[in-house]
Amino acid sequence: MNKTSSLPPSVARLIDAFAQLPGIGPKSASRLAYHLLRAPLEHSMMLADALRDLKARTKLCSRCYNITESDPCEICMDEKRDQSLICVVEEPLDVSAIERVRSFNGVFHVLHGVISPMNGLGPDDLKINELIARIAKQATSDEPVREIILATNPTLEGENTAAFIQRKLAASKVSVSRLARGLPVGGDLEYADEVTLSRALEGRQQLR
Amino acid sequence: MHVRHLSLTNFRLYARLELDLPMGLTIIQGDNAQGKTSLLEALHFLATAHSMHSNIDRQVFRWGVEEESPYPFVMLKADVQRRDGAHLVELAMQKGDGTRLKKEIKVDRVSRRGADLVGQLAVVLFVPGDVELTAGPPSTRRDFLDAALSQVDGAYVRHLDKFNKALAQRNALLRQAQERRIDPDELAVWDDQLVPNGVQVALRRRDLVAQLAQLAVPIHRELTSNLEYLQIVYQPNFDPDAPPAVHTPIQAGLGFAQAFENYDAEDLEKAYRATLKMRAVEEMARSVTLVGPHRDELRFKANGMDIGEFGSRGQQRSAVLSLKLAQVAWMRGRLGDEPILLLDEVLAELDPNRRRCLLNHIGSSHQTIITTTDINRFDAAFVQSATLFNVHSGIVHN
Ligand SMILES: [Zn+2]
Repeated sequence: MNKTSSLPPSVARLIDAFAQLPGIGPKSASRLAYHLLRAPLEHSMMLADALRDLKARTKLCSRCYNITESDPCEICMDEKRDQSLICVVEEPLDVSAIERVRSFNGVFHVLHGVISPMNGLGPDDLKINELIARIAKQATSDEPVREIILATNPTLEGENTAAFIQRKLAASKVSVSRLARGLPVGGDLEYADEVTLSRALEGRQQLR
Repeated sequence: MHVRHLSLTNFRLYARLELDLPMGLTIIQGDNAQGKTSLLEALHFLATAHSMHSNIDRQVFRWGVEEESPYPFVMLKADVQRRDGAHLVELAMQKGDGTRLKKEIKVDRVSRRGADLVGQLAVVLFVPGDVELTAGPPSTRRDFLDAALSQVDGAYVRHLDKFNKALAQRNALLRQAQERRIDPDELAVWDDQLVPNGVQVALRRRDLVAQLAQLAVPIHRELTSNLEYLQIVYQPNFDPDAPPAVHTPIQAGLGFAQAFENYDAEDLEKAYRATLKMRAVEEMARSVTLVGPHRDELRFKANGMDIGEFGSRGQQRSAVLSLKLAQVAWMRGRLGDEPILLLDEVLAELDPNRRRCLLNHIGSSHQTIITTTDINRFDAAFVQSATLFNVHSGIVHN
């Protein structure tokens, strides 16, 4: 059953495109499309430009896998930052959340998801092997990795992913810590307020 | 405790219902499929919704409501009078785009998480289908344990929820093992979630069954005129004493159930892990988790004989009645308050002795709601003591 079939093809195409976005169903997709149809032309052009640039100008940082326009990214290139302290997060948005706090002076590693067999995601689908390779490569440099902070969300999958990485790092010399509790269980790092996040970083617990 | 007012929107066949409920005995009369059972179900749903699987949630939306509204919702509200005062318990569910279902729980107008509903409203439900508890599939007995515990034990709700999520992920991983090589650590980290949570579920079930078994003995003697000695036996799926090879659903003797009492969480974690290890090859081959409380059993025995296997219909009915009355006493002890009793068409099918015994035991309850198709099945004095409602096509008349 395709309700958009009686619409002009250009409208139907946009609705279908919107409906593929996470959290957007057919009803919201129609609303967005009709909103743009009524809005001034500049509005649509701005959106179209932004969408084109999104893929054309951005890439993943070859070191931390955050989204960046320059490689390595600004955070990785920042000489004032402690390259021996790596905070491991699920998504690029988590980097922004921790950066807002301003109390963290290390660097990041973005996993791009969590282990979830139900969603077909295994360790090889995330940047876990890249993290291990990064630590190994840096070990011979003048600033070897000293500490890994596992800052995945306190969901079952987040905890599980942290536990898996911890097992993979068991043989290495780096110390591993987990972001302290105090974050709401099941809550997203992305939505944590700055005081909570700052305390969670300071109170992180060493796992070994 | 008792519910003073029940308010339903789009629940089953009720588009809208505002119903004042009195203390004491209420009889709801109506033909089949008019909505009397839905009233009991609404109270049971509100008391246990946090423990139920989400596929049940979707079934409670009033039929046809989706044609009327793009984002249909269901709302259940109860004014509950408890020992500690009056409280308002609310549960709302709204269908969103696609398969999304938004669920909101409020207690005294403040948003809460599911586990916070524990203890807010406590009910014991008697339905004709309960007789299947002894002889039906094991999942009905596990559902009984879950519904009882999740009304009084918040920690149980959390452990069961984590266990179920870890189980689903672990099963998905075992299925993936057919297609790709799996890192042993991938399985190990799920085991680390599965085992401690599964052990907590098993420990709490064990304690519940031990208490129910004790409470049920004198009740069952009364029900059977001293003829039967009832035993309720919890058979955990991983048992330190019973190697999996000889672990059959019907295990003779009570020896191991007694011993199981003495194990602590640490012993059980060891037993769970050992059993997982022993069945690892089989789990891989069958792509499913075979060890854990999702495979627990509960057996009923009268004078040593398994009632589910060999009992008569009458014996099965008595055992379930004893179990439910024991549940009432158990909840009273845990909550320090009387649970609400919901009896759907149950009195009619009981013989005079069982009926008398049931009425004796519910005498202390603050609120009992009974449904029936035929009021004439009760004697006049009983009807006199009750408040009467008639239900027809989802409308309740005084
Ligand atoms: Zn970078």
